[in-house]
Amino acid sequence: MTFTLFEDNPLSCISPEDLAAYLSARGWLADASSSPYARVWHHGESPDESTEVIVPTQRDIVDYKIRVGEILRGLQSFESRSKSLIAKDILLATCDVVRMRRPTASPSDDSIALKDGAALVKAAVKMMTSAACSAVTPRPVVPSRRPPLATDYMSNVRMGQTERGSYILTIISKVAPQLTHGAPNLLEYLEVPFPRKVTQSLSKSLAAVEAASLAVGSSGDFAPFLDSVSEGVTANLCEAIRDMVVSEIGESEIDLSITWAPSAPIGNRQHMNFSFKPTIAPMLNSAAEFLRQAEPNEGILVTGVVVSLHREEESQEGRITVSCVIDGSVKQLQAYLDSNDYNTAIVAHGSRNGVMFRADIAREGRSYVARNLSGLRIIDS
Amino acid sequence: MEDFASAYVRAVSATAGCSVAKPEVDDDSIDLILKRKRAGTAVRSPQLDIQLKATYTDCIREGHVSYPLSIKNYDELRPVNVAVPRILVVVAMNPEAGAWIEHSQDSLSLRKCGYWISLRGEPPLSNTTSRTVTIPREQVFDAMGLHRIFEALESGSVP
Repeated sequence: MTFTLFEDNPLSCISPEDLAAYLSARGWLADASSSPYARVWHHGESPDESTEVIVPTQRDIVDYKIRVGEILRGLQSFESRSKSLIAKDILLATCDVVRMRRPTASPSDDSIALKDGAALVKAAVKMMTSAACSAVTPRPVVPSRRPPLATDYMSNVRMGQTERGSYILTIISKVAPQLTHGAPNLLEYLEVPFPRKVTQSLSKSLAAVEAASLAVGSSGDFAPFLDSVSEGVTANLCEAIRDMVVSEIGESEIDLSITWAPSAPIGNRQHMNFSFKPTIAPMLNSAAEFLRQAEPNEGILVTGVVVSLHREEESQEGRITVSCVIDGSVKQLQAYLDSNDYNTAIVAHGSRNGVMFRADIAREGRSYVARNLSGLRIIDS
Repeated sequence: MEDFASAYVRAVSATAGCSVAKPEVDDDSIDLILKRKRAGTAVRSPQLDIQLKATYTDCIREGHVSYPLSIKNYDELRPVNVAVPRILVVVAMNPEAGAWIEHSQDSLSLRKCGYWISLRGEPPLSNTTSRTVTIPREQVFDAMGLHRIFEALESGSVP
C-alpha cells in the first residue's frame, strides 16, 4: 500500500518549516533531536506511538519523503482525517488563505461559467491590489504608481487550487517563510510581516465596506465610505466587490473568508467571513465614484493625443481635451494651459503627434480634469 | 520469497517488542519500518528502516554470509544523512519451498535464518553492477540481536 495521492503534489513540496509550523499550531511539542537530521515531536502528556512522529529538520536527507509519509500516516490516525487533507493544511500552515466562494447552480454542480471565473480572478487581483496598497498608505483610490512593497507583494501572492463546496477560488498569502521550529507564536514578538498587514488590511476593509453600506442605507450620503478609507476602503475595492456580484453573465452573491495562518494566529479567531449580495452593486458603484472624486490622482504621467482645443478670443490661456488612458481605459481628460503650453498643444494637434505631461487627475462629475499640469511636451511619432 | 522474509522479520520484531510498518511512499529503498516505544530512554521511540532481501542460494560461509548486493541497493544503504538509520537484512532460505517451515501443534519453525548489517558510511564504488556484502555470522537477526540494536538506538548510537 503506497502513497499515490501526491503524484501531482509530491511529498517533497512539504518543507520542514511547514511541518514544524503545523505541529506547533496544533499543540505538538518538539523533544530532543533523535538524530542530527530529525526531532521527535509528541502530543499530550503520555505519548504513545500514535502521538509521536519523527520530523526531519532538513529537506535534503535521503529518507525525507519516507519520513513525511510516516508523519502523514501518524496524523491520519491521530486526527481521523484523510492524508490529502492534512497534507494540504500542512502546506498552508504558514499562509493566510483568502477564499472566494461562488454558489453554483445546484449542489451536485462544481463548476461555474468560464466568463464568471475569469471575472472573479480579475476582481480578486483588484481586491488584493487594493489591500496591498492600503497596507502601505490608505487612500481613497489605489494610486497609478503602486508602492514598491505592494508591487512586490502582488508578484508573490498565489492563486491556489480551487476547492469544492460550490466553487471556491483560493488566494494564498505566505506569512512567515522562515518560522523557527517550535516557536508557533513567534510573530507576536516580531514586527508584523507585510503579507500579514495586507490580509489584515483586507479583513478590515471588507468589514468597513459592510458597515459603510449599512450606514449609507438610502440616504445617498456616501461619507461613511470616505470615513472608512483609514480602514483600507478604496474605490478600487468597491469596484472589485461590485464586479464579483454583477458581471456580464448575470448576478450572484459572493462569500469571502480569510483564514489566518495557523503558524501566526490572531487571537482566538481562525476565520473572518464576509458576504455580499448583488443588491449592493449600485451602492458600491456610487461609492467608488464618490471616492474617486474625493482624491485626485497626484503627479500622474499622462501620455495621449490632443483631440480638441478651445481658447476664448484675446485670452492667453486655453483648454484642451486629451484622449488618454486613465485607470485602464481610454478617457477624455480636460486641461487648462497657459499660453506657452497651449501653443505647444496646437503644434501637437496640427502635427498629429502625441503629448506627454505630469498632472493631478480629478473627477468632476462625469469628466476628468488635469490640475497642476507641468512638463508638457510633444512626443515625436 | 519476499513474503516469507517479511513474515520472518515481523515474527522476530514482535518478539523484540517492535511494531512493523511498510513505508507510505512508493520508495523501494526501504521495505519495512520498525519502531519500539519504551519509557525512560534517552532517545524517544527510535525507529529502524530495513531493506530486506531473501535468498536461497548457498550464501552461508564458515564465518560469514556472502550476498551480492546491487550497486543501487548498496548506494541506498550507504548514506549517513538519514533521519532514521537503515540496515540490510538478508534472510537465507531453504531452496525447497516445502521446507521453509516446520509446523506442528507444538511449534512453528521458520527456516533458515536472517542476518543483518549496516552499510552506513561505506565508500562509493566504481563498480556498476554489484558488490558482494560480507555479513558476520554472529549478526543474526533474532530477537536478542534486534533488542541490542534498539538499545543502541535508544541511547543515541546508530548501527
